[in-house]
Amino acid sequence: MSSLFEALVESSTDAILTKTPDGTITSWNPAASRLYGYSSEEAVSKPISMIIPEDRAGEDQEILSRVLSGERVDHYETERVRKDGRLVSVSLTVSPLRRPDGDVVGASVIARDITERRRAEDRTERLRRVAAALSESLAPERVVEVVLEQALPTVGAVAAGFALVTDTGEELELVASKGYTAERIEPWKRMPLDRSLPLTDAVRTAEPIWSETAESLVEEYPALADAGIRFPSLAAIPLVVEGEAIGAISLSYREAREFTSDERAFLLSVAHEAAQALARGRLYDRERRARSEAETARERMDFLSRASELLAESLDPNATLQQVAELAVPRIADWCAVDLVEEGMIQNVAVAHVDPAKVELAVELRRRYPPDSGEPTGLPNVLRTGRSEIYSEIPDEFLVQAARDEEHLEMIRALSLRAVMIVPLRARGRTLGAVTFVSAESGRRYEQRDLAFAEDLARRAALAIDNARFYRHEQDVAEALQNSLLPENLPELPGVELAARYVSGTAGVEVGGDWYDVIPLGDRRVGLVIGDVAGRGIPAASAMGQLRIALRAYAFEDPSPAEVVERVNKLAGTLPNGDMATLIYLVFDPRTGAVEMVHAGHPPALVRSSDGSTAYASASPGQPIGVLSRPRYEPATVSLAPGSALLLYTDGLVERRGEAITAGLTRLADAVSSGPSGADELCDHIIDHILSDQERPDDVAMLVLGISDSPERVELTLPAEATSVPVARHAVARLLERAHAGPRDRQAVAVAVSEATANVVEHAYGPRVAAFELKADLEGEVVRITVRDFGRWRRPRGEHRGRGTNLMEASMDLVEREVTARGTIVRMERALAREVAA
Amino acid sequence: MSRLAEVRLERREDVQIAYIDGEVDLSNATDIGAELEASVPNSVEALVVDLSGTTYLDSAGFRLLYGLRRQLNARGQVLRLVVPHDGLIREVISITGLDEAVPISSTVEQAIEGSP
Repeated sequence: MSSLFEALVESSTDAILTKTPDGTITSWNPAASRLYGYSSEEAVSKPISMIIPEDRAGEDQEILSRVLSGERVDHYETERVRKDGRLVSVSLTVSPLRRPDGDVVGASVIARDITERRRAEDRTERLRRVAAALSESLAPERVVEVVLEQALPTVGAVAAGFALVTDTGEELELVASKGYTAERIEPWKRMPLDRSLPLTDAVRTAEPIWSETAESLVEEYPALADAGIRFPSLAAIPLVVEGEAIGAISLSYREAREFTSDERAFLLSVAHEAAQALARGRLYDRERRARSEAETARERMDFLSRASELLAESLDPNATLQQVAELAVPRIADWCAVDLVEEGMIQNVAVAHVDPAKVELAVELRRRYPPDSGEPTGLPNVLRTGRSEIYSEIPDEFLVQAARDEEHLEMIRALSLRAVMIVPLRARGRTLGAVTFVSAESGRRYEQRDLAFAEDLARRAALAIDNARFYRHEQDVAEALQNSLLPENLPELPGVELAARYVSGTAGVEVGGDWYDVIPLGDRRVGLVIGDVAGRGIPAASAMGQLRIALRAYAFEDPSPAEVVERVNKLAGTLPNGDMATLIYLVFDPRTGAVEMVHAGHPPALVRSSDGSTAYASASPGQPIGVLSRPRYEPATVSLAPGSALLLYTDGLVERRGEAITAGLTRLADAVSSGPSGADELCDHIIDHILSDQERPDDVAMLVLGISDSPERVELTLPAEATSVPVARHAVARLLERAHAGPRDRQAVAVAVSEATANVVEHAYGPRVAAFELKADLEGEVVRITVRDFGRWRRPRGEHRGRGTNLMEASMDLVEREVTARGTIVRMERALAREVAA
Repeated sequence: MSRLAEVRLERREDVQIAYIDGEVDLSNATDIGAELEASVPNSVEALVVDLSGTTYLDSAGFRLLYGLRRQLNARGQVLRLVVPHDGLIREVISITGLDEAVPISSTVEQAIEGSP
């Protein structure tokens, strides 16, 4: 070999060696010594296998055989073993060594150290993977885990820590670590930011700290040395988001090392990715929290407005409180109870529980252990003080203390109470009751925010109860007056529908002197009265009462209507106050449709024909009662055809301040003309259209007489009382009689109607059960009966009800029962035999 | 309002007779039951309830009659009913099975003798 070539080989930075075909090293340049650690003397004449890892022996054989066959292998990347046992990554170029005659006598190997390149590549790949993992991490714990478990072990650190600045911004908290012993790490869990430590410095300056020797660490951070922490090398890298450090990562090495620029770059990149991931996570968290708070707030507003609606429309506050309790579960409580103080007693009026089985337990608990008004805390205290109580958490000792005996303790433990709020129902300075919200199964804890919401709900509920009670009181007064002065029930008359209303004036509850009356006379005829005594209050009411009784008494004697009114006038002249009254008295004969009517200074009756046209009955108005001593009354006659209706009313219906009475009469005629056909419905229609939206200084009484256009129909609304059973039965029996049904059909249908209505009276319950509807229709040979109530049914019980049901089914061809949310409908049918009467 | 049903009482030796004329339903069954129960002295063997004049009877009436039978039996007395063959309520009685629990005769005389 030329010396020039030798010089080149000697000075090459690549390791160059030659070997024989059997693998004996024949030359070894200085770069090879540097790479593999063997000197030329130690290497030459030795087998090449000494630098080949055992698991790569086959690979080298293969390369050699390829080269011996004349091939050249370029940039083959593999690993070799150094003298000190460490592996180095190398890129090999292996070429045949030929004699001048061309025979291959060995191989030359040029090896380049690619360890650094490999490491750099490796880091790039790891960084890519860490970045990918971090980009998916939103929870801080996950970010920490990726950094500590995936990124750091690959950089040769023996221990690492992850610290975050606390919410106060004054401390650094070590949230996780790896490789430090627990006792070693304990004093460093929290580090004040103003203390000089590698992590705190890194955070304060937002710059990394690279400490490469034990000496420099001790010098810079004597506190660490004092604590016995002596790492030859240490790095503290801040987690920087938008120029500000939110935390730092620490790395400790067992041996002194220089942090290469690649290594620094890698660690800074990991820290950057981690910081970004944390920032994203926090942002996400904040957004999510904001969103969930907004959602909760909106839900609660919805809930409150729904509750308010329910409460506002309710006239039965207790039923509504049950609904409110049910609304509260499970939204804000697992168990909600409402208690009211009624006549000095604590009454539980509503209970709802997520687990219906526990409602019974809760009710049972209350029944067996009623709250003692002397208790210093809990419901009695809230009722006493009108102040809320909140128990964010309920430890078992609390229950043990509250329990009255072992059994009581067992029962309250079974409810697995977690947190409780008791809020008062307060209105106009009085505590009406309290609502108890209990968290159990859900594990929800109550905070001040929940308490504020609960109090808001309770305020609305209390207002509704107060309003309803006030309303009820007013209503009670008005009803008591009506009951004492007006007919309790209008008689049920075949072929005729009667409906009446008494509407109090808005000015106050002082009763007026308006009245109406219906007086059954012989031969199915009926007398109708509407009247109005001048004045208000007790004198008017008592005069009205006397006139009403007098008119009834004279009417029963059944002289002509004019004579009845004349006698009433005569009586009025003897009344102490010299009262004046106006009235109409008429007698209707359903057999002919004829009406004989007498006016005594009263606004005219309105007649609506079956085609909807209306006309005021023209009659000489006559003198009011109590004006002249011997007035003459001229009766007027009107004929009412099937489908027509007659309306009697008092002047409050047509008079408005500052308006001619004719305008009021026209308005009433229009309203009646467009009104529905049923007498009851017509009354409601008139009230809606004429009285709804204005001040009424005066009371209004009205009475509608509707002439059925179909004699083959019964439509009755009856009170849910035992006395309604014969009324219902007789009404249907009369219908069948008119239809000439035979006695067996009449008997069977009467039994079915009685049993169905008895069921309503005895078994339907609930706030709206006060009345029920009976309808009977004849369609050809088939009679159809519908009995409809507005309550809920208890399941018919016992032998007796079974008997009733059997009788209904045996009496009718079809019996159907439909239970709806609003009540129960029983439909029955029977085909009539039509035993024709001779 | 006229009463839905009238009860008349008659004593014949060892038998108390009660005639129910009119209609018996939920609205008056309890009152009639109380009246009948009070009418039976300890000294009689049987109460004969004559339903010949009863134009209407439903489950409320049956409840009354079953209850009356139980009361009487507990006192060692018997209840017998009189229902004419062509009576409208005969059918209802057979639907409920009352005729299997209480002896029914067509006339008061037969009922007193205890024969159908």
